[in-house]
Amino acid sequence: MGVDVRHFVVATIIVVLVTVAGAVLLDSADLLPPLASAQGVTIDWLFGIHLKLIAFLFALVIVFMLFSIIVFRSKPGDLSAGKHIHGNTRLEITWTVIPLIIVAVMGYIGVVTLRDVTASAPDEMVVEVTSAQWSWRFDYPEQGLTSTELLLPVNQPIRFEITSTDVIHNFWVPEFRVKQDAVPGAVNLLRVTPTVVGKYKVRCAELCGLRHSQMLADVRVVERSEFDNWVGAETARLAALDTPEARGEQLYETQGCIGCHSLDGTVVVGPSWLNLFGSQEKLDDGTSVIVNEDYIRHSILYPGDQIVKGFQNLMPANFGEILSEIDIKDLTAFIKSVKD
Amino acid sequence: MTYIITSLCLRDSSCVEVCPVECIIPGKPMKEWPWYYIDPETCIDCGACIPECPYEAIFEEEAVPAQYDAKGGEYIARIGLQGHYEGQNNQGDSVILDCTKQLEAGENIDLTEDIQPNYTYFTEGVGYGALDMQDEEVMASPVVEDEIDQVPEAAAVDVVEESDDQEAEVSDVEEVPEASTAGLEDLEAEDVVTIEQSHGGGVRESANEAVPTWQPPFFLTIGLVRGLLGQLFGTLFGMGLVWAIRFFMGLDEFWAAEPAWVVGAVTGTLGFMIGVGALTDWGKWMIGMQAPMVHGPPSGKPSWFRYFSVDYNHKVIGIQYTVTGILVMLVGGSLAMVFRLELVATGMQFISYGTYNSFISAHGIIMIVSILIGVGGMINYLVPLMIGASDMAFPRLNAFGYWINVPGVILLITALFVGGWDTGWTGYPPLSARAPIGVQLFFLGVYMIGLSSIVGSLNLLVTVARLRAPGMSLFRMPIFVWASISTAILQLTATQFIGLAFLMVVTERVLGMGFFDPFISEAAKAVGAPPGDPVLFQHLFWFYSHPAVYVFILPGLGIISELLPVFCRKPLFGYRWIAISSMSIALLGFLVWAHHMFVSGMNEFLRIPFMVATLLVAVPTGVKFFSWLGTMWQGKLTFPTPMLFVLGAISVFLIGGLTGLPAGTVATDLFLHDTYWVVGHFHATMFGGFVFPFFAALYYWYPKATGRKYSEKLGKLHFWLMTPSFWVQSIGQAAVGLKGMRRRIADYDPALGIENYHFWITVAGILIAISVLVCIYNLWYSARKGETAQDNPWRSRSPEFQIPSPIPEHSYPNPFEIVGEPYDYGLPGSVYVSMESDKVLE
Repeated sequence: MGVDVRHFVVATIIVVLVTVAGAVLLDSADLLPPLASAQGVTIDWLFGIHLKLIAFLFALVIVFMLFSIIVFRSKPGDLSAGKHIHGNTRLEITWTVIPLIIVAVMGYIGVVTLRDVTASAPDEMVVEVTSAQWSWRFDYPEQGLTSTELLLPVNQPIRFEITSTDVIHNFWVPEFRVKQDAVPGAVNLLRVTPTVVGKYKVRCAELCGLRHSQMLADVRVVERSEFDNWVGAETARLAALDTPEARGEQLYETQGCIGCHSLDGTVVVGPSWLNLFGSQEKLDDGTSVIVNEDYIRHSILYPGDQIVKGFQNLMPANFGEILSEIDIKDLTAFIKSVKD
Repeated sequence: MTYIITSLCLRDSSCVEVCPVECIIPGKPMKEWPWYYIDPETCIDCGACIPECPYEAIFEEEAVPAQYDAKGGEYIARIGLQGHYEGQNNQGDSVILDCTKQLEAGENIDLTEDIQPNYTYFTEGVGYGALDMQDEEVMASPVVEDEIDQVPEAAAVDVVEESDDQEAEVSDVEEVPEASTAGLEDLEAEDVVTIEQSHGGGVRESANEAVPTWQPPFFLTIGLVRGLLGQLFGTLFGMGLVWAIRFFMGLDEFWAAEPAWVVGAVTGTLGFMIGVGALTDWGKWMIGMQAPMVHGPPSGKPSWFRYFSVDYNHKVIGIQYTVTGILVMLVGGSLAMVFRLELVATGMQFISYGTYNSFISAHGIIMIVSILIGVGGMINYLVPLMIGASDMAFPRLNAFGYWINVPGVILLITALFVGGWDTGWTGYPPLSARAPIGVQLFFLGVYMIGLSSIVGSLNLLVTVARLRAPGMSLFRMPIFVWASISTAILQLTATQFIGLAFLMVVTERVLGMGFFDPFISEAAKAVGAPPGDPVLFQHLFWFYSHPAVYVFILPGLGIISELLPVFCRKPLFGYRWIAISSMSIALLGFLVWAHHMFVSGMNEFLRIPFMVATLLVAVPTGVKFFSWLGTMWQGKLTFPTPMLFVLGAISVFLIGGLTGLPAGTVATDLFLHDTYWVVGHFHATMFGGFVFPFFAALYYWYPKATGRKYSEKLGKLHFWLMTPSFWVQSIGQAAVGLKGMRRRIADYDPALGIENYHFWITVAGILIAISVLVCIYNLWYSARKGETAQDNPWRSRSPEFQIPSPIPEHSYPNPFEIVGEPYDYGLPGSVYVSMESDKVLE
């Protein structure tokens, strides 16, 4: 066995050892968040295959490189040249064709896994996800409910219909693995079957402006019975909302106002609603207004017209399409009621 | 040409008398440019002039002394010197010349400085044509500017003292205008300047009216200073124009900031380009004036001057690009330091959400710009040298391509001060349609820098296509040239798309064109306008911005392939495969853009072809990796700093490539998209594909460019600080991404349990920053104090290492011929280039 061949064999053995070691290490490391969806099973399985491939390719390149660095380093003062080899066409074809085959296989696996992850189920429950800077709203059309918390029955295939009222957001629950952009003017679908009861968070994964990092919503995956109870209780509660203030508070929470306007005096993005009604506010054009019904109505419909000094025009301009006149009256009543 | 007349010449015409072929020509303008030239085309090397010269000013070309010890008493004539020579020539005519100085005994003068003007006078300059052309364009205008900081009080006194004599003595050589005596009564400096000017003007019959009567101070002659002033005035002009138009339109808020900034940004850029002088020659051509190509350092200026002004030498432009790239990288890196520190702990420590978002956006684009500029630096400096071209095909376009970056970068930085922008460097609408005004300057800055990419790549492609040395077939080009043309093809064909996409958002904002606005107005709906489509922007954007990634890495990978054979003393394994793989990556680069949009809501079936195309990129990339391993195998490896960075690049690029595998597969990308996994992935790709090779190239060609050695010790310190830190950083980023850390968030959930990771990522980031400062100190210090470098310190076969260090103004004295393979290390007796000119002529 010549020196060349021996070198190659030794390096190959080390590659195998490092590959195995790397794969075991990556496998045992706790890399991913807990898994809580049926779709995530496929994704984690594929990711596991990727990690093994990564371990092999990493070992292949690094071992041969380190081997050359150690074994083929030049002795000090040695000015001679290495072996005069221009290349090896057979070898080049080999390491073109084998990766091509790997790519074909990985491409096939990619297609199959994508099919599994996006497959629809016959008994899907629809949840409409509406995102806005910087809040989430979840509508349950089948139950006739609206919520800022995402409550899901376990093992129930869900079809999320995701949209946005302003900029692009992204609906992502890391434990569910999958994510989908929320694009204004479009409805994008995402299918998730939650499989583990627990509390999670929706985390906006597309940069959406100032408070992007805080654009979160609570997710609760619960047993079917608990979900049904919740639906019943919510329906009853909504039916019982007989004052404009209570309806206004509901709108405050569900229509996104809560994302920017606090009730405790802290300034988030827009002015706080605490003691807002009846106060005198300076506007950025130097004039000032008394906050009354007219001003509130005008500011909801045309938010850019009269900006309070020190604030930016960041409020969505399409509330006129979303809210009815009664909604606006209810909201105004709620604002009136926020006092300390 | 064998003989050179040096600046010891004071235009005694005895040499002219004996010259049998009339090859000796007086310089123009006669007054400030006092010595004679020998026309290399006409001279027959008879040598008759040498013994006739009373000043011993004529030397053989090779023998022009760089260390001329003055005997004392002789005069030297040089642009920018103060003082007069007064005497008679051998015809008995009295001569008064400015810009002369009497040398003291033992004074040491470098006469070789004058060789370039001597040459260029004929090769790029006006030559014979000067005798009856508007000479002020070629010679006088630099001269006039040259005198700026010498608004010469001393000279003024001379004039006074000698004015009597002048009246009497000056005869046919020059005429002293009336004004010179008129102004002598009082010694107001301005008057004196006027005298000097009209005095000089009297020499040249055609140039009188062109000479300004006011000379700007020295700093105002620096191109960069004039450019910056031009940008300032241009911006103010544009803003004023907008406000005036809006005022006369009767608009209520005529002072609105946004349209003014947009127009001001454009006019400001134009102002910069006019001010710096990048458009001057073209302007002259337009009105029918001559604007000859002048090479060489401007006379009478400090040696740094040409690097801050428009210069047409590709090596100067290459260094301008490189240094600018490093400076811009420092700006972008500093921003990263700020928000990296912020991320050490959850909660907001010392910056606000808005600042954080602006900083990550600016960090992204400023780093990308620094990479583009760095790529321009490497390509401009190296490619003409490697292919034996005396310069790029279009030197003026080359200078334009460099200088347009500067106002572009200024716009990007200004954007941070006018509200910043919170869209990331991707600038997706509708977010960018409602971001602060800074986003407009960001869009327009990128637009300008994109112009640089387009003209630069056009120039490069023409240069490589037309100006290769004889014998340099495509497969005998240095491998870096292959990488450069792959990059240039991408830049030339894709950059328009980002410019277009950004311009569409600019107009959406200022003109209400709702290209990407899904909520168009009722009025627009009423006339049947369809709503805009935000996803369309992403297609346009990524159609450039994905290939852009390959624009960054292909030259870097080319550097790896270029340097490995030198430090392995072994031919590049599979040269043709590597060359073809660069082109394949470039081609595939056009077919993968939508892998950035797997979750965007585009047509779902499109995800599959884009996934397959993305995975296919692994094949040519793999060919490169395996060929590098093949090059190292059985080589004789040595590990000076450039080689260390090459090996570091391979290890880091490997991390980048492997993390791309799950990100490029749709199902796993649904999880990984817009997480720190992706952040780790592309930082590793950028560092391995560009930053490490860029540093390798800096160290490798540093002795060639400066003629001095960098400090090997500091170079290695740089490497050992940066490389392990980078491994920690990118693996840490990938790990927090898997844990659920989203991209571009100012604050993260403590429940994720990743504060520790972030701490170490930040430590690694700081170490990287320190290592870069070590590098800059090394390069800065060694440029002045480093040991003198050998011509070929790495025993390279490449042509640029066969000529002196630093490389002369005109790189190769004679065209060379390619007579072998570029990387035949270890083949006894083989050479790549033949520098013997006679061989070329055969």
